Amino acid sequence: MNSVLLADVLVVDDEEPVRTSVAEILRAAGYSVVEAADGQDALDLLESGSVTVMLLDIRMPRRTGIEVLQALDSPPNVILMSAYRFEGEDKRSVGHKVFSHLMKPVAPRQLLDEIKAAINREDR
Amino acid sequence: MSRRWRPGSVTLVIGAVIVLLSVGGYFLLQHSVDQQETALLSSNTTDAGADASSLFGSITSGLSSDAAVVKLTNANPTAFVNFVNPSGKSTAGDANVLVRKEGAGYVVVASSGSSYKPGQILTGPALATVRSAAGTGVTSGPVTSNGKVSYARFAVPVSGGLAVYEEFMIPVHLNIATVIGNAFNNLNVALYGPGPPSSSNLLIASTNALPLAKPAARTTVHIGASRWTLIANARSPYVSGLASSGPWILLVMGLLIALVVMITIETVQRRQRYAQSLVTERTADLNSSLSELKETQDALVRQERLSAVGEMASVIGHELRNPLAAVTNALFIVQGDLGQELSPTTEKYLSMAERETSKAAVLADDLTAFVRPRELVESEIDVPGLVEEVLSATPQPDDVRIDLEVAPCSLVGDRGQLAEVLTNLVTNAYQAMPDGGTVRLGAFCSNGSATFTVEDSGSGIKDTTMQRVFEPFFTTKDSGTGLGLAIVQRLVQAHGGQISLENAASGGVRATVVLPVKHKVAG
Repeated sequence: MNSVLLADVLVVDDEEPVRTSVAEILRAAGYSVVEAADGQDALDLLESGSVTVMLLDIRMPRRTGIEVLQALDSPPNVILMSAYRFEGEDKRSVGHKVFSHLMKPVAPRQLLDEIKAAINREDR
Repeated sequence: MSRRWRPGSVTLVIGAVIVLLSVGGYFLLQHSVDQQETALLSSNTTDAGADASSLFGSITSGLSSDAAVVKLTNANPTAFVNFVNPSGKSTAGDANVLVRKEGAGYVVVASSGSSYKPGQILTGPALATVRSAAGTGVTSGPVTSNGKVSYARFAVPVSGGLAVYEEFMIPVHLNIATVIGNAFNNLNVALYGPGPPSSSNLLIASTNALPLAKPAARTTVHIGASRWTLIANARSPYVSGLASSGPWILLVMGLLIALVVMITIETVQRRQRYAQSLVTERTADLNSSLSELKETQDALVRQERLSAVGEMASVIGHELRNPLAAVTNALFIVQGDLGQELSPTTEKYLSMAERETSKAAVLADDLTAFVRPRELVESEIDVPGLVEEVLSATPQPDDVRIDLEVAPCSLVGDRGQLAEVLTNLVTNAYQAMPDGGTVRLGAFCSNGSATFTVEDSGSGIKDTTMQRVFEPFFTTKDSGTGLGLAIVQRLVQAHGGQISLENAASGGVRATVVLPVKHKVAG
């Protein structure tokens, strides 16, 4: 994997309003942010460099969040943020690669706390 | 259990009619048999009387011959005796006597037999007989009897104060055939002399059983100028055999027919009633099967509708989340941009937007929770601990009191889901008492079950509402998705338990959840 740090946070979500508003909030909080519109975009981006935290939606076209996780041997700190629960077979297969899971809609302050916790974890 | 035979009214009426008809028939037939018997007896008795009359009439004609001889011989005693008793033998008790009137009495002139001697003055019945004949011609005198033998007396007047008197003795119970002939073998006969029949004027009788038993017939026997009486009854009924049994046969047959008819009617009626009850029973069975079928069908339709509704709910629940997330974020960004100094109007409507977005988020949660198949993550749950956790996570309104009665015990289940169940029930109880009240929360374990009861002191639920409380999307609250109890029921059922809601005696609603304890085997 490329060691170039692309940004603090990679926001992966096919829902454009969600993706852009989240990115806006994170940028306003001082984080550098890159965006990907689906799982395949995210994998392509991660080919070119690394991020500290990946905010990952689950249901997306081309590649789902779960498939992204399955494709990555050592993913960044992953916060799943989805309209669907993360459980069952998905959780069993890629649960160990996930830092936390948030159900949409997530209160922005809670989101910022989670991002902070994930970044702090990386620092340790 | 003994079944008593209690015949129906129709049976009784028909039975009674047949019995009455047969009893009536019995009397009618019996009367006719009696009449026939009487007629036959009467006719035979008359014949017997005629025979007796001719027999004893021959005695009177014999006397008339005696009188003629007396006249012809100028009352020669020797000629008289020779005529009346040519053989010269005398029989005890029999006497033929020629008498002559002297003064007020009669003196014997000549006599056959030893009973009377010439010169003897007549007395008693003999005198009475001669006197009576003097006035009327040939006649019979008194008949006298001592029960064993009887005496018959006859007399005929001859001119010149003369009279012929005859008396003879016969045993009372002489074989009747030797006296009257055997034409009346079937008759018991008693022949009495003049005057009312009695034992003292009985001449002969063919039976010892006197007076003769009824039915008996009597006839008058004319002996010269006097009248004897013959009484007879039948030794065996003239109307015999089948004819005399007729009335009885009719009666017995009638009663038997009544019995058979009654039994038949009753049997038929019973069978009919049984068949009817069978039909009723089967109809009820059929109806209940039909209603069960209808219920099953309704349940299937409901299930079908629910699964369609559930699918839609799930889709809506999930699809709402992205726009909600975007709106939540947008509001946050706008708020940040506007800074701290907000106009009251902006602040008011921003918080309204936030509040309503949260509500929509709760709805989305409920919608997805309702249809989501959830895995049971089982662990040993301490019941008092669970209750405490639920109560502390569900802040109680100020005016609500909580009455706890929790027994220390434990069960195996999904702690999160069971907490959700209890939270929901406790929240419902709080909401049922907007003006405050008491929530009674009970929990105990027994016989392999853990039972939780949550009872409020609110005003209860209408029956029509009660039937639908577990239906998804059914709610009586102003703000509510109507999914709470539906989700609770699913969770309880997933644990193999049951939930029921009822109006408690106190007036409020009591929810009861019974769950299997299922302790894990150690190890």
